[in-house]
Amino acid sequence: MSKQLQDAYIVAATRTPVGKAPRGMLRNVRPDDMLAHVVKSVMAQCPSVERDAVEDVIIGCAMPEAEQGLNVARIGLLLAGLPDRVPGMTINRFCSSGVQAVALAADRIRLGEADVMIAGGTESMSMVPMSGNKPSFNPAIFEKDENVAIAYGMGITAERVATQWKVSREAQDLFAAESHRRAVHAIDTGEFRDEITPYGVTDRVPDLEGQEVKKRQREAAVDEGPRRDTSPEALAKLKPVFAVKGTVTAGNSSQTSDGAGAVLLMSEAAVKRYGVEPIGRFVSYAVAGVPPEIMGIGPIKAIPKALAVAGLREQDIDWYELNEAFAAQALAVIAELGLDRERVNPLGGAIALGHPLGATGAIRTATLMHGLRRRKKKYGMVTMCVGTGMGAAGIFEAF
Amino acid sequence: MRSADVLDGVQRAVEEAERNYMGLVIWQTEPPFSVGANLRKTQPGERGRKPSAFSRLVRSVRREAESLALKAARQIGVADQLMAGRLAEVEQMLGQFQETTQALKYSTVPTVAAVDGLALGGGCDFIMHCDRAVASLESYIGLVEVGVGLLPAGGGCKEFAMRAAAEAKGGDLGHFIQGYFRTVAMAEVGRSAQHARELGYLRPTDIIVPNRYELLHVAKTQIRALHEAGYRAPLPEKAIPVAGRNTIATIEAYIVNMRAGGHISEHDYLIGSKVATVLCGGDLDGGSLVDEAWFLALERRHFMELIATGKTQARIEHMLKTGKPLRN
Repeated sequence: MSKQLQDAYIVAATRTPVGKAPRGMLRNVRPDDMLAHVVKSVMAQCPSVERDAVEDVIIGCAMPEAEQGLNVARIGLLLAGLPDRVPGMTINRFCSSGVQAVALAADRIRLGEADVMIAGGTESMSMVPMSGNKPSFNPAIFEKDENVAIAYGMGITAERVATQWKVSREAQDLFAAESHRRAVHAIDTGEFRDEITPYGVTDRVPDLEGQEVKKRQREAAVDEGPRRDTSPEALAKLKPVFAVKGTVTAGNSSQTSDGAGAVLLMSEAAVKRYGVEPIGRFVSYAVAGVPPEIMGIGPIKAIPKALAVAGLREQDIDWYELNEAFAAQALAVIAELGLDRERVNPLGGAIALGHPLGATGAIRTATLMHGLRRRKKKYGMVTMCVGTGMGAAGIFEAF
Repeated sequence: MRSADVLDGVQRAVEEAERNYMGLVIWQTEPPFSVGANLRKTQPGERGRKPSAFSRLVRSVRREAESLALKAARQIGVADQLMAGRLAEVEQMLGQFQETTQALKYSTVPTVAAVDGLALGGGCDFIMHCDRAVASLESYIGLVEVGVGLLPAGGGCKEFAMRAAAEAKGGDLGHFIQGYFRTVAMAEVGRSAQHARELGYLRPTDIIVPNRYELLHVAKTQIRALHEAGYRAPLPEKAIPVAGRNTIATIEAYIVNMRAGGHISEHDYLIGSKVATVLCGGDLDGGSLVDEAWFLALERRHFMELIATGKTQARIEHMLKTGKPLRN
C-alpha cells in the first residue's frame, strides 16, 4: 500500500489534438508552444488559482533536444505566462515520460512538500524525429551479445514479441482496424471534446507577387490520425516494415505524432483554498524493467506492481489506456494479463490516435480522467511499454 | 593484360604526362569507361537500353576486368591450395593499386577522367582520384565491391572519408559518413552521372556533359583550363579528422537491426561493420587527426581480412561462375 501523507488530486487535465508527423496539421507548431498552450489551458480552467502558487512544472519529453531541448518545461511555462518564480524541469523515460511526470508531481504533493503542481508532456515528432537528430550509440553495446538489443529499433522488438507470444498478423491487423473504428466513433460522438483544447495554428506562407508574408489562421481541434477508410483487409495488404518475414507493419504500429498534454494537481488544502472541484485522484504508479529485445511486454510487469501498490485487483480497473505502441505488444499484454478487451482503449489507441512519445502519458491521462467521469466509472489506468525494456503504469480514480 | 600491367601503365602514363605534357586524360574510345585494362567492349545492342541498376551491376561485374576485387579473386583462385601465398600477391597488388590512384591525385599535372558508360569498382576509384571527372550523362558509376563480399580498397573509402570531413566543416562528421556508408555498403551505382553526383562519386566540381561525343573535347579543355590557372598538385592532407568509434557503433546499430530483421546476413553484417570501420578511421576517438596513409592501410587490412573469409570467397566464386551475386 501507498505510504503517502496526503492525496494528490487532479483538478484539470487537457491536451492538444494530436497531429500526424511529420506532415500533419501541427508540423510547424513548436513543442514549447504546444506546451505553453496546454499549461495556459489548465490554469485557465481554474481561474481562482494564483499563477505563482504553482510549486513546480514537470514535463515529459522523449527526445528533449533541438526545438524541445534547453529544458522545454521551463521555457514552456514562461511562455505560458507563469511567473519567473515558478520552476520547471524536463524528464525523460521515453514513452512513459508524460505519465511519469504526473506521478512525480503527485508525489511532491503526497509527500506534503507541494500544494499545486503542473505535470505534462510535449513532443513534436515532426521537428525532432524518433531517436533524435543525432543518434549515437556506445561501442560497448556491440562488444557483448547480451547488450546488442539495446540498439534494437522498436519495430524489431515488436517482431520478437509477436513471435514469442504467437501474435498473428491477422490478429494485429484486426486490432489495428478496431483501434481506428473506436477512435473514429469517439470523435463522431464528441468523446474527446472535454479534454481537447483546440490549437489555433498560424501558417506563414510567402506571397511571391506581393513580396509579403501571408498569415493564414486555422484551428486544429480534432485528432488527425484515425482513418475512416481502413479495414482489416486494407491493413492486410501492407508489407512488414522491420523484418523481411515479419508481421509488424506501418498499419498495425502506432503513428508518429505531434502533441502535448498537461495536468494540474493539488493537495486537499489547495483544493479547499481555491474552491476548485477535483476531477479525480492520483492513486499509484509503478515502473518495471524487462529485456530490451521484448520491450513491448513492459506493462505485463508494471501493471501488477501498480495494482499491488494501490491495493486493487485487475477487475477493479474500469478503463485501461494501454498505449498501442504496436498491436503485437498490446495483444501480448492483453493476453498475458487476461485483460478485458472492452475495457482496454475504448476510444481507440495510439495506432489510430497517434503517439507523440513523451506527451502520450499526459495526453492519455486527460483522456482517462474525462472518460471515466463521463461514464461514471471509478478507476482507470494509463500504461505503456517503454524503449530499452521497461513498462509503466499509473492508476487514477475519477470523481 | 594482368592488372599489374594496367597499374604499371597508368603510373607510366602519369610520369610521361608530368615530363612531356600539359596533363593526362583517362578515357576509353567507347563505353564503358576504363582505366586502361582490356575491357571487353559493350555488346552490340546493349547500348541505348536502360537496364536496371541491379542488372547493370551484375552484367558489369561479369564483364569483370576493372573491378580490382575480381582481379584479385581471379589471381588467388578460390579455395586455392596456395591461398596464403596468393593472398600475399593480392595484398602486394592492392598496395600497387593504391599507389596508382595516389599518383593520379598527386600528379604535378592535372588529371581528368573522361567517363562514359560503366565505371565500377576500381574504375570508380580512379575517377575519384583524378583532379576532375568529365562524365557523360549516361555514366553508371559506383563502388560495387561489397557485392562480392569485399570493400573498396583502391582509395575509394579514403576519398569518401576525406570528402565527409571536408563537408562536415568541423560539424557532425558522423552524419556525412553515414551517408557515404549507405552508398558503399549497398554497393550503390549511379543511375546517371547526375545520380552519381548525388551519391557522392562525382564532386560538385566534376562536369556532366549530355552528349558522349563532347567528352574528350571537354576533358581536354579542362586540362587546359587547369593548366592555364596555374595548376599545382594538391598538398597531401595530414590532419584529416575521423568520425571514430562512436560513429562505427552508430552504424552498427543500424546494421544490427537490418540483421535482426533478416534484411542482411551475418556476413553482410561483418562486411558492413568493416566498411564502417574504414570510413570512420578505425577504433579512434572522434576528431582524431590522421593522414591518407592511415585510411589506405585500413582499406588494405579490412579488404584482406574479408577476402580471407570462406563466405567472401564463395561469393566471388559464385559471381565468377554464374555472374550472379550470392547471398550467404
